Amino acid sequence: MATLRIAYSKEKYMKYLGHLELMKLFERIFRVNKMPLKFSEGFNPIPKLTFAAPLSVGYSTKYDVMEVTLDREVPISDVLKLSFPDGIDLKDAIYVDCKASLMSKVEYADYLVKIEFQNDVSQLPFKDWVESFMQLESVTYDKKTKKGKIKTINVLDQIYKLTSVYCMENEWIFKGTFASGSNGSLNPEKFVEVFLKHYKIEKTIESIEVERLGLYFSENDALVNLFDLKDTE
Amino acid sequence: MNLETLLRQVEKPTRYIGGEINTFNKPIDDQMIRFAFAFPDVYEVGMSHLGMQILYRLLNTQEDVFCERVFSPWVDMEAKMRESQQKLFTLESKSPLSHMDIVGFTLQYELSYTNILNMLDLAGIEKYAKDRHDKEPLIIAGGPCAYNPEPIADFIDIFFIGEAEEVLLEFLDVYRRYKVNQISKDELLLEATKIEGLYVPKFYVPIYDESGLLIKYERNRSVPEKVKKRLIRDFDKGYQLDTMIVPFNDIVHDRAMVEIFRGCTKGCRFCQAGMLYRPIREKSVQTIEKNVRDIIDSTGYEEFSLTSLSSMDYSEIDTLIRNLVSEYESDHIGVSLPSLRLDSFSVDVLKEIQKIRKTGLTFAPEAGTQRLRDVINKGVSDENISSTFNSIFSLGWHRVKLYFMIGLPTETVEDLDGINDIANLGTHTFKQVRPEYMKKNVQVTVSTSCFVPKPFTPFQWMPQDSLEQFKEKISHLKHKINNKKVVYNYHDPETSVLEGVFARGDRRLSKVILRALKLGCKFDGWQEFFNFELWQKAFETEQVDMAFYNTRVRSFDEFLPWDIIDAGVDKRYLELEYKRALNGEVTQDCREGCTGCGVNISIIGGECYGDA
Repeated sequence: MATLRIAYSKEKYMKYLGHLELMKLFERIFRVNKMPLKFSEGFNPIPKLTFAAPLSVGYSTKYDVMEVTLDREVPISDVLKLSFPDGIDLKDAIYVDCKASLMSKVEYADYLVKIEFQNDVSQLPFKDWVESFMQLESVTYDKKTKKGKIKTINVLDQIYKLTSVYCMENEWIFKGTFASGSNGSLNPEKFVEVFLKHYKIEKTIESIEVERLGLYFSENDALVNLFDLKDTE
Repeated sequence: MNLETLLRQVEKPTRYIGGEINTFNKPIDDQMIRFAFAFPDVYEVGMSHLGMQILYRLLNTQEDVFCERVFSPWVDMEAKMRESQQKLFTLESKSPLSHMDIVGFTLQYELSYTNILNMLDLAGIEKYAKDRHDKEPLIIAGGPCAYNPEPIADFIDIFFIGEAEEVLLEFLDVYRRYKVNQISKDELLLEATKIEGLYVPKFYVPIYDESGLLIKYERNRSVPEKVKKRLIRDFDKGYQLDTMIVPFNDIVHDRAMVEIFRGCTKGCRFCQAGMLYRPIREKSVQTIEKNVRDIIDSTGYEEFSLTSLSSMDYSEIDTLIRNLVSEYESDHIGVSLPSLRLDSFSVDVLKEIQKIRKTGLTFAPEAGTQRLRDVINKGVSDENISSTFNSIFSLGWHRVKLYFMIGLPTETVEDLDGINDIANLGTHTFKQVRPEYMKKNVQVTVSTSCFVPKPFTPFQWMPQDSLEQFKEKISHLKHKINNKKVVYNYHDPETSVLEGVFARGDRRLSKVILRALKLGCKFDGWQEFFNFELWQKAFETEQVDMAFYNTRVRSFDEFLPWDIIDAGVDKRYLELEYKRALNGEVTQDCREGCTGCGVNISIIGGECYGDA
């Protein structure tokens, strides 16, 4: 038995694939290429595929991580040759002997967000706002939990890093490292909503494009790419 | 607004993005013949259709042809498209449909006609063929409903009658001359009439008498009097589908499909497909096994279905299933059969299939009494039914679905009550024979659909039941079926009434369809969108009477709108079969001896099969 860890990108039209569709696609590509999938025991045997963090439909990613259990190892060079529909590429692959699960370990995600407003926003001091925002103690928003309760969350607890990248004409681009994992997640669009509200910006948004750049866990106060996760013992 | 902005705002954007496993994307230049295969329903329905998969693959094997796909956008997408003036586009290259050379619609059911016009509307293409200029795509259509092309004949340039694999390629040879401007559009259409199987309605003008009855078509110049259907003579050696597009999202039939034969020898009198696809042509076990291997290897599907009109009747079904099960069992790849006939032989096959996966069981006795089953020539006996219940329940199944039709010719209350009797026999048998370990309770589901008389069947002259008659029969069954273990589902009669009108309609219905579209009718095959009142309004506005088409008795010598088509089966044979039906006389399976339908003479010019 072998656990194969894969880092992949999901861009172009493939960003409209939902999480279940993406899982199904990986399974199909593995089957077409005769990868020795390990099936679960039981009445309806299914192969074992785990994805670190679901991505909203419409977001692209440069480097997401998944794992699949195989009966035996196949050469990594063959894995990297697997051909996916245009928009999905395998970036790295490695066999791991790691008990920790991707889903329980992932803590942060890096996003590049492009907002297109209906009007010119080039006069707005986004750069200063970002700096002052990060100095604040607390900016809260309400979130409905799965049980239907309302939970108040301090958005600053969920932001690791925030930088304004570019602002011209109708466009503002920023980069943010946000919580993403079992201890809470900050959706980039939610952040935009909270941020704009805080600075009382009443500009209408035409569209938001979100690109995830990578997934991370923290180790000794630094962020490490999830692909490099190892057991710590 | 660009396309991506739209995609972010709709549910299931994967319906529109293309790029699935085994799709094509070819470089586009001026020489490339651009073909759009258009399915006038939502993606999930269209992608479950095997014919599309075959023709998509076949056309794309032609170097100078790029076949793309287009479906009816779902209502949320359509609203966004109209709001932002986004024209209908192909999935592969996202090109406007109006940039295609040829748009080919598949006509799978009558209630998709408004969707065809709606797609043309969304593409900005003129709907009436006479209004389309040379720069607009040629609009062609094929599929089972093309056997009575008349209701949509005003919108379509060329109909393809019968199986399209060969005739499409023959047509492309003519089209290539048009593409390089050697011939004009009119010349192209005239050339098309010389190809067997192609019907160009503009060269045929329907003539009616004072009472409104169709009496003939006035033909233009040298076009043939009747258009003969096309079929693949040697199905075992013809074009073999070796892979399929694998959709991203869950479609209706999310599995590989392998055709094992075309045609059917049963001779059920209500069944249009059974008449249209004659004669029977089987693939060999070796060919089927190769088809399965090719498709499974290239799609990654975990289930495949052996399709045909009646797969249990494949002559070597036992060997085939045993071979396939033993080959695929260890890979967790399941076999399924779409339609099962009630007899003990099927049960052995079921045992094999069950080794891998327990699929749902569905059986179609079609009618509640032996008498009525004889009328429709459905070769299922009371004895078959009880022995099947015996076998399946003793094997450990506890759920079964039974399909029936209401509104069959000569139907009486006893026949309706017979449906209830069969359902009760099922639950009773379960109690008698269930194995000890089976702790679950039995569930028998009875589904009734409303019978629609179709062209080229022995029932093509008979009146369809009226809406009121259907409603009465359904309500009778609702009261009659009171066994708690029996669930009764019924198909709404309004849609069947409209289907009945279009199935045997003529060219005067074209304007009604366009009117209905303007009134807001679309996705008429979908319960949640079907609006019978709007349709009634469309008929009233255009002063066309539905009853003329569905509940009227036609005389045997009436000239029928589809008499322009030669489906191979002799009209006199159909008349004879109708009379035999009324007398309750059964006609044998034609494997047991020729029943004289005429297809051997008109279409293949010889015996249907040498060894039968």
